[in-house]
Amino acid sequence: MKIILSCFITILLYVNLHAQLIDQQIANAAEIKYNRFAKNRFLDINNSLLDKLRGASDIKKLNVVNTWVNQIRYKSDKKVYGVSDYWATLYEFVGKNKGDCEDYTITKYYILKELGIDPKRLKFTYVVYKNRRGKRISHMVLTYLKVARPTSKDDILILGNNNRLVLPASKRPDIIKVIKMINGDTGAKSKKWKRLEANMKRKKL
Amino acid sequence: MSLFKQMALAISLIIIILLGAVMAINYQSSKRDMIQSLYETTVNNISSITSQLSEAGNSPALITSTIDAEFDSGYYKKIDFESNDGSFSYKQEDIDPVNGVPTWFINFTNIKLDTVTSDVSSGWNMIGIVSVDGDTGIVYKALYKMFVQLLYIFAISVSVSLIILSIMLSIILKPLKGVQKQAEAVIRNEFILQENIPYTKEFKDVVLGMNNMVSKVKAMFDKGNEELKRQKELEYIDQTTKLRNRKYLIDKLPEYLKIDARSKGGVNMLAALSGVIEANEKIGHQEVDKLFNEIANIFREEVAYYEENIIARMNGTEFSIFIPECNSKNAIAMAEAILKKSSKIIQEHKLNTGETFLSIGLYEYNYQESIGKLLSQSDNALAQAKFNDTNIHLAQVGNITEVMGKDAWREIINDAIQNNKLKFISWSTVDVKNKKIAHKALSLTLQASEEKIYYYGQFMAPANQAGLSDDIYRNVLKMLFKNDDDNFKGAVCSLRLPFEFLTLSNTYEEMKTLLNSYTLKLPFKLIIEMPDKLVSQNSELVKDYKRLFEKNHIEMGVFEFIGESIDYQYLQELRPVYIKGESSYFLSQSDQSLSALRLITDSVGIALIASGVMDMQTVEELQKRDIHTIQGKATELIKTY
Repeated sequence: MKIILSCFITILLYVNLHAQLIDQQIANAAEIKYNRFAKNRFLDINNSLLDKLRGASDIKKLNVVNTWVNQIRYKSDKKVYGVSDYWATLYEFVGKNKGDCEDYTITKYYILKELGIDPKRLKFTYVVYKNRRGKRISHMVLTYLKVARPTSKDDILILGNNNRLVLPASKRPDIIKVIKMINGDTGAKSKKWKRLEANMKRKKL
Repeated sequence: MSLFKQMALAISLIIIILLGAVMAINYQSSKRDMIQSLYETTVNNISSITSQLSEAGNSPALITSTIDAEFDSGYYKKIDFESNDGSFSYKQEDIDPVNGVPTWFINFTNIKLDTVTSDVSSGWNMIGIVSVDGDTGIVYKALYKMFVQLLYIFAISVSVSLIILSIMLSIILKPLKGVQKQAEAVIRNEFILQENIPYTKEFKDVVLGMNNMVSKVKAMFDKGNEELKRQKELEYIDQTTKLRNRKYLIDKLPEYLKIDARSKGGVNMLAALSGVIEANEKIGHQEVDKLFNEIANIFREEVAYYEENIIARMNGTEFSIFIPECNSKNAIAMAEAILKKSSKIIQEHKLNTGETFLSIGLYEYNYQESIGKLLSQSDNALAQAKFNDTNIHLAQVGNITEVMGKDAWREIINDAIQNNKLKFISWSTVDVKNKKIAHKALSLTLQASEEKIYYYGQFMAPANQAGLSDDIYRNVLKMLFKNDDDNFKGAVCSLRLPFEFLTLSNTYEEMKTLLNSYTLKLPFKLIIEMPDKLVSQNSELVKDYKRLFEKNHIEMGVFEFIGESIDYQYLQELRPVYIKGESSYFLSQSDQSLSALRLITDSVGIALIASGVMDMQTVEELQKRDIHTIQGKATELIKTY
């Protein structure tokens, strides 16, 4: 009886550990729903990011992931989903190959978390960003805290979709105001976060 | 509906209404509190949002970002900002349906939460108005969760309450069950006394009252039983020889002299002792009585082989020895043996056999004869015997002229059984007092061809002789239960089954199979009549039949009743719906005997029916004796409604 129970628990643990962020099933589903390029993008997340960066430094992970995700085209929620504001899952964003700043942030966050970066160091950050023409725009970026309790702008790295580089906040004068930093995994879970979590869990494509 | 069910239903309804009301109040109260709480939280939130928007000043990007950050990190239905000058407005709204709550519940709950609004100022400048709708989805979810829980609690509470209620009612009303059983037994004319007297006063009084009533009825029955036994002893038994008497023979003979009698015939011996006056003078009355007793014993010994024999003392010097199924050759042999033995006994009593001697007239009868003819022919034979040297004379009736031979009958009857040519007809049994048909007695016809119909009286005797009567009855039962005969729809019908058929080894099982399969289809109420000769045995077979009939809602009737039983307890135990006797039987009973029978039948609810009533004079005589239900030709003279 004990042996059977041990075997059962082992199988459960094995299955659980291998509940991957990206698996063959989601890649195939993406091919059916979108196209084979979508499938390739998912496989590329596995090959170019998750497999290769597993043992890399946090900085390298941030840079490579930021660059990879920023390849995806920007498109407003209104145009993609027909609503003014929508938090897309990684799967919807990569599958459709387009999205807005929140979608970049979400995808980067989940890939980095999968790569083993401490979620406490990652924040969804609401900022006001000034574009090249001087227009102030409400924006969201993913921020990485180099230390648990940052004391200067140098301690905070910005992963935005408007800049291909991961730079400290001190090197991002275009971000003129930080409104709020949130992370539902480590802090209070808002309604939107809960909905995102649920959609990610069921791999909403 | 039983009292238990009514009480259970009423209290259950009260429990359900009370619990339902508590649940509804609880639900409404929670709903009110939740809406109030959400409103208060929204008021707190708008205060915080207003402060943050104040810091944003007039920058739309800042306002947008602030609203986004607040909306995304909290629980809101809507945050809406509109600048005072109308140049800028921004709205974040959750338009997704509430997950996990069915639409019908949302429609049913229909929460209406007031929008909370607040002015936003930057320094002394009023820059706009923000309005916030709290997230009613939270309330819907919480209320739905609570609603489901309340339903579970309600279901469990109601179930537990009903179980407890059922147990309590069972305990409280347990004595009533006993009273009910006793009442049902009284309806069935059973004498059941309640041993357990209930503690509850009302029930106790009812039980004691019913016990008292049952005891009185039982005493009535017992009294009637004892009286009837005593009367039968006086009416049917010769006190000297303990043989049956003439009255018994007359009452019993119809059983053997009828169209469907199983026995085709036999011999009736009429024995007379001559020289009794002289014998009395010589040896005295007591010795002569002893002589009669010894002669009676000789009769018993000699005819013992024939189980159905009836030995009756007809008068002071004459005896009738009725022997069905006995032929003349055997009867003469028996008569000779009787004469020889009696002559020896007469000598032993020191009497002259030339002066005191026995003469035996034998008459070979057949089943078609009347009682009168049988007795007169026997008398004639005896008269002849007295003048014979041998003191024996045999008179024989001529052979019965059969219309058809046995084989021809066998063919017709077999054909009728196989090709459904037997049909039911009915004769009315009439309640003369109320001018109503009490029930219809079923009989049979045999449709041999389009032109030729044989009636029961015509074909049943040949069927008996051909050994086919059991097959006919078997077929009759199948016809009765399997065919959808609507002729008797809604009526009460009786079917008479003979002793020989009922006592066949497989009749009971066959009937059981038929009844279990087809009784529910019967379009009429059925009474199966059984002969008193069988019913009075009160054997296991009779009890089995009774149980089978009861189970299938069939009543039991008794026919050919002459009250010859040594005990009438069987009437109480088997409780037939009626007993039928020949009209002559009822008319010849003494007042004491009939009133004793009445006492018995009235106490257990059995009706008395006189059969073979031929004319209105007999009807009137029967009515004088309180017999109002009749069967026979006279029923055609009575107009019924």
